[in-house]
Amino acid sequence: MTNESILHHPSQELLVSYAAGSCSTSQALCIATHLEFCAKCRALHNRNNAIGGALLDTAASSTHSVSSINPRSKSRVMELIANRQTEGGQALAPQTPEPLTKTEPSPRNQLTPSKQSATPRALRKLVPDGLSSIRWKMATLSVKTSDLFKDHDGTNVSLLKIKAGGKVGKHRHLGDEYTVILQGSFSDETGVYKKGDFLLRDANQQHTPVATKDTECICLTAQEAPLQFTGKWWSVFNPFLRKAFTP
Amino acid sequence: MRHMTNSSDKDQEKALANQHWTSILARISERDAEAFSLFFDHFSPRVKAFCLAKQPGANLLAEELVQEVMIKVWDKSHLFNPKLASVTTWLFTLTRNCQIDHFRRNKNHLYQNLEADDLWYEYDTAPDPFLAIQQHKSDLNVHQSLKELPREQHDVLEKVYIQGRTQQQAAEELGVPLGTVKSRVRLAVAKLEKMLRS
Repeated sequence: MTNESILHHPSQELLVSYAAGSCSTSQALCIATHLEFCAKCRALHNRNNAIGGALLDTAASSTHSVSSINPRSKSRVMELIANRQTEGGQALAPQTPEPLTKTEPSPRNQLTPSKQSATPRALRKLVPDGLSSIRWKMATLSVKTSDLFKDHDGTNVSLLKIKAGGKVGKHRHLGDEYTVILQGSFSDETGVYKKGDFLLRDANQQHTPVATKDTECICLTAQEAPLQFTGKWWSVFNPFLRKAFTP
Repeated sequence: MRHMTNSSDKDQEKALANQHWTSILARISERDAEAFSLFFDHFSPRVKAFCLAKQPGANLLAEELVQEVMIKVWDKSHLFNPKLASVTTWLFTLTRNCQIDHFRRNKNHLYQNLEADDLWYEYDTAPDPFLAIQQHKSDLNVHQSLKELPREQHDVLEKVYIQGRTQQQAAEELGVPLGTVKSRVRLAVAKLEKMLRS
């Protein structure tokens, strides 16, 4: 999955929020997806985790005195692990079905290995059958969408498919919008964005994305607020887009 | 560099401690309850203090989180990769994920069964062995470098990592604009990076 040609990354401070666990679910999903494509950000993320590790150590030893643990907590935990041991055959088969490797041998994966390998791990629960089996909803003539979930702050997380050469009319965002490109590429006034690229568009920035001619473009997006078409013709779609944000 | 000898002694000490706990984790992955008990005694007060720093006074919650984290240590010890992270860094990631899940369960913020482990996980790409050594060294040296950061940069990292504040909340609590918090975070990580490379 690693692609060395990625040019657009999350900001340093966003990566720090992610490692610290202080960002929202929708931001975490976008960053985790980008990290699968980007070795450079993975290295930064490891370093940011190391900052957390050092703070865990110093928080306990300097600013706060090392807290004593209720002995009952320990006896409960020791009892739980003893139970796990006696459940039989556990020595080499630990409990958590969470292998570090990406090739989880579930029947579903075996049926569609190519589809699954193309789906970033962070999206697997949301898109269990792979990107090619998504049921899309028509949004405009060249854009289809598929809703994933709505975050507690109102952010709408969805997948977007722009047909090859398709144009998304000139629009501005009423809130921040995070985008990670999963397949294909698109361009707008500011540049060309390819697979794995991470983009943050601030509220009120205007742009006119166009998918590359020869292939459709699939993106993961997290929008804080509906977008608003600013071109004359495209503005007919605005009421439909706002509707997507009403609970 | 006035603390040269002092800080390299400290680094040495950290490296030795890390080696020790790495071997303890290896024993835990072989289902050694005695090794687990040692690990529990050493690290659970630290995990508790870390959780209390986020929610002062929430003693019961901190005890509960300690139990969850330690069970995860037992269940996931075979996944610990000493080439990717130090023991405390790995423990931090387990604690962070337990805290995130706990918070979301409480607030009903779970979507489509997405758990912290689905969005915050270790990446299995085997790094270049040389890079792995560098990574590992820098992981251990972060300790010392953090102490050398200017107070205001250190404070911002503490707000974000330990107290779990968003950058917006950190800005409000510190009484500075959001842009200042962002630039302090950027400066702090840039400085750490530079110290780790030198």
